[in-house]
Amino acid sequence: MSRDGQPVKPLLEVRNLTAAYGSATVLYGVDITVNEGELVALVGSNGAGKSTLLRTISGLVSPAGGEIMFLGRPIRQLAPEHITRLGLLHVPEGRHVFPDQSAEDNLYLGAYRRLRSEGRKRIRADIEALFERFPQIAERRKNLAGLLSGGEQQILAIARALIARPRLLMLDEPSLGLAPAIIDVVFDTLVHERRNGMTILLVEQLAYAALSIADRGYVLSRGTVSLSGPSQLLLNDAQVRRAYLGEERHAFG
Amino acid sequence: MHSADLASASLAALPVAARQDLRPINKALVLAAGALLMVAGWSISDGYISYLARLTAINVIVAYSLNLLVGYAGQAFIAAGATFAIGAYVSALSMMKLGLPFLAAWAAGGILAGIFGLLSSLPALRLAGAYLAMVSIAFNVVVEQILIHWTEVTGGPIGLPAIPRAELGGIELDERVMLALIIFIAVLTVYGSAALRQSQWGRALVAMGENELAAKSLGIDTIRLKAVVFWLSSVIAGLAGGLYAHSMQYVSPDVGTIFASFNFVLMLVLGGIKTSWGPLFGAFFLTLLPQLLSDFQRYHLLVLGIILLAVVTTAPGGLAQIIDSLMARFRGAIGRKASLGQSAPANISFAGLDESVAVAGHCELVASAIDKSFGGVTALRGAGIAVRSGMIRGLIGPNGSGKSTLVNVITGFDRADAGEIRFDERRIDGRPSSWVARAGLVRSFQTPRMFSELTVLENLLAAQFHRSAPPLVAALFDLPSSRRTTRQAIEQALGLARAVGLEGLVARRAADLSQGDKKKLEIARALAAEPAVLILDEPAAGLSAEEATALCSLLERLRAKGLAVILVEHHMDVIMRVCDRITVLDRGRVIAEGTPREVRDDPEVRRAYLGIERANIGAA
Repeated sequence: MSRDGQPVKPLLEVRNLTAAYGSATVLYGVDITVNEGELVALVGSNGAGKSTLLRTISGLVSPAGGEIMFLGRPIRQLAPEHITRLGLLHVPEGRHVFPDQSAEDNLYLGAYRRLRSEGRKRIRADIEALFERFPQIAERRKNLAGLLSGGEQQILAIARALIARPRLLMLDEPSLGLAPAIIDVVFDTLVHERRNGMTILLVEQLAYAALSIADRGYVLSRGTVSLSGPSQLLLNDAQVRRAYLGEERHAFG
Repeated sequence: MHSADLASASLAALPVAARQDLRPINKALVLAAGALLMVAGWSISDGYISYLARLTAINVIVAYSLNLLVGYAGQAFIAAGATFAIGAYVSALSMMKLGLPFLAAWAAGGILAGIFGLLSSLPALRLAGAYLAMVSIAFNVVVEQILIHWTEVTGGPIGLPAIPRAELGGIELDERVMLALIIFIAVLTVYGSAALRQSQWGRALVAMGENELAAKSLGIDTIRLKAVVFWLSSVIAGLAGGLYAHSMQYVSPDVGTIFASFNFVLMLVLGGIKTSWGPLFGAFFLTLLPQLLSDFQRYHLLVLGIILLAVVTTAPGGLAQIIDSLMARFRGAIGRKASLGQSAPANISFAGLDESVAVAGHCELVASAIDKSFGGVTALRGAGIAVRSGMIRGLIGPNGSGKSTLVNVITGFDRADAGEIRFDERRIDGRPSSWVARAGLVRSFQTPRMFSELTVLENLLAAQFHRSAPPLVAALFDLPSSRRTTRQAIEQALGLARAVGLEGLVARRAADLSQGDKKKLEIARALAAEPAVLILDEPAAGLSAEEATALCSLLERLRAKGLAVILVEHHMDVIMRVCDRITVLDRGRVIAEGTPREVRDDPEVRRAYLGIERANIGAA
């Protein structure tokens, strides 16, 4: 049972997933589940395989073994664009905005699949709401996205994903390169979206901050899940605190 | 003596995969194979087979020359047919009209082709990719038109018949000796390009081809490097043209058409671009295929097109990739298993750091009153920053406040609209970025700019190019001085890899690193360029808390060694721990400057950057 008293429905189930780049195996039999309406945090050290896991789920990397179920159907064999059309959206590391289009047009492109069914008016209202939330990109809405600063591009990439209203949003280190005050805004936004029913799988280096807003968490180390459970439990786990939270707490608490 | 021992010891400590990339070429084997091939060539008496052998060997030479330029250096200049024709015509005409002896005529062909190559490097200074390819096509058309229409010299569309055979010391070389000579030059070219690739020059070339901005940031003079590789590639193609003219005794404008150029490029693509054996496969394949299909001449191009499509869609790496994977399957799973344990945990050690980082003399960098705008958007207004040796200067501010722009302006990647930058009293604004890097200001990039196809070790070696390039001749022939520079560079590279915790990954391709490891490689690579002022753009982004702590220790050690550091960062714990002074930017202006404590307590900074609550917690 989830917190709202609704029966728990798994939206994404990853079972015994294995992946490799060439000769180097990165994931060794990973199992994770994300239920409808949950915000799940995935933490772990660098090179543990967090990004590879997301890339494998979204079809950018083909797995060596295991199963991936989304909405109850296997998606392992599907092409990335097909998986996206099912409502599973992945925001990879590294600010992949469309550099030669304006910030605003980037957002319209994010809403591309909603435009036909919901109409331009709805989308425009949503975009204005996002601009209100992130005033620093609102100021640059007419500038080419490629001319935005690194951090602004990062915010734009997140906003572009939010505007798409996916069934499951997978974010890879949204805090990367953001100023402290903006990180707060981004995390607040994720809490807000979760409350409105969006399901989110969040990969973060800021383990404390991510677990603080998550329902559940997984700790990935060296390509396997080493710990999992409700995020409050993980936050208080001595092992997790020592290995992943470190001094971060003092700066970002 | 001592340092040489050290270097060979460290070479032995390298993982097998990394050592393979750096092992010296077996010269005895090359010599034996070359001699055998020459004797085999000499023994061919059948005229048709000799013709095919000559043509194949000449195409091998051109394909390898093109592999240097289009492959390793990544320059999309595809007019090799024109260069080849210049070498052929000049060499032939020098003998026929000027009466020069063969060797002088042949050299003249190479020299003129080299001049053509240098001229063609000029557009490459501004253009890349498809644009450069278009310009090269235009170059090719110009040469082709001259060959066709300057009839009184070139013989026009008919070309030059009855070109004298090559002679040495007055003795005419018959077909068999000529073939042996061509094979000799072909073997020399294959050997030379392999030796060059393994030298510091090769790593610099690939680095430039993979990421020109990063290459410049490490002090690699890309203008000079482009001139060198265009020149070298063209001289080799021109000399091949000369061999063609004097062995076939006939040239026509057909050898220099754009289609001839495409054919050379095709050899590279089909065989495997950037590989050491691909050009050989491609040259053999494309020379011999038309002969095999000579009974079906009408379908020759059709068959070629189908083969090209099949190879490029199934194996983008060309025939070399197909052969490689067949070999791997043949060898079985043994090799694969051996390389599995590569992702070793990060063991950070500063043991080698002292030897790997040069002690910097005293220096001071002052940038003041910098203005910069991009098409109406003002990025900097009167911003400034200063740092001297033994000091870490933090640069913080909201996203879009101009931090990276300031770094770009200081390091010559952007030009300031107003203001001045002095390094040890000397004005450095307006200087190109690679000059600034060689002067001692080396920066890292916010989004890692890797030389993706190079290993971690080779990334670090490429960064030392501007200090450790052997003479080009030494690199081409794998002379001891070339190997010595590589060994010394490895020594330093390993120390730096250890200091950032990448020692276990030195043999990994940079493209296959995790984001955090890429950030670490950025830092180590900047240090490998031996900066006096190290400018890091968000080095801790994507690092775990533990890794960020290790970064702090590294920065403190670098400061103790006398480096000046500018640190752009959002990780406030890193900033507060290591910085001596902090500059705060907001909307392109400096809104605060002072010690970490002063800056943290500044109400303006709290409002614009930290957010009130966070500043309170940080102060507690």
